[in-house]
Amino acid sequence: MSERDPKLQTVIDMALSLLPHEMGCDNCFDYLAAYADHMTNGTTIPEHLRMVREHLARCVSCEEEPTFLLEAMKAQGEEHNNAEG
Amino acid sequence: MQNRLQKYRGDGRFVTWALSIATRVALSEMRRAQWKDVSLDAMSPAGHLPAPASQDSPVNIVYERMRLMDVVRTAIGEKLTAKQRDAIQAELAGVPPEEIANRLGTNRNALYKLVYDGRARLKEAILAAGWSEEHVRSMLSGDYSHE
Repeated sequence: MSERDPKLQTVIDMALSLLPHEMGCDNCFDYLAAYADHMTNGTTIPEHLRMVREHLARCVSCEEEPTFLLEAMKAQGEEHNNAEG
Repeated sequence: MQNRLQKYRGDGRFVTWALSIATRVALSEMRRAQWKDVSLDAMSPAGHLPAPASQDSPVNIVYERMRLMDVVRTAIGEKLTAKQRDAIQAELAGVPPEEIANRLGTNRNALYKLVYDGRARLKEAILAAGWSEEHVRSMLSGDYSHE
């Protein structure tokens, strides 16, 4: 047995990074838009939205959503500006 | 979007909220299309080739890491439920959680909880073996300098 099994090391990381209270995917999604607005505006992330950041750091399913959302927001903003001329 | 309208709390712009739903739907469809023909067995391969042991590691460090890996392997086999094991193995194989949830007949949120509970059991097993979190992190990083 190897003492450097990469998959087992990942499992150990997953276990050790456990927090007593982690936000679930549904809750994270409920707050994602507000979180993205703060990121776009550069305003301080309020305390209740910090759990969104913690969830995104741990959840491989949710982690890429802010990236795509911010891209979509940017595209929407440009479209809006073009429409206004 | 209409189904989720009651979830809009007004603490962000409406257009951002609407885009977040559109983004999630698009991502879900892309992932589903990518993994639709992959069986659950293929998602969670039973094994893989282990990396070779480091030649220059001191024997006691190598031994302790091997013991840690053994504890974790045993915990995966004995402390996790079959669903927790399948979910974690599939995640390690890079399968999107919503696709794993789909195959396990659950939803993404419940899957997160399933994996969370599994992580808790593994952490408990590691700590029960007598190591502190800090020591385990040192073992994995190979940095024993602060001990």
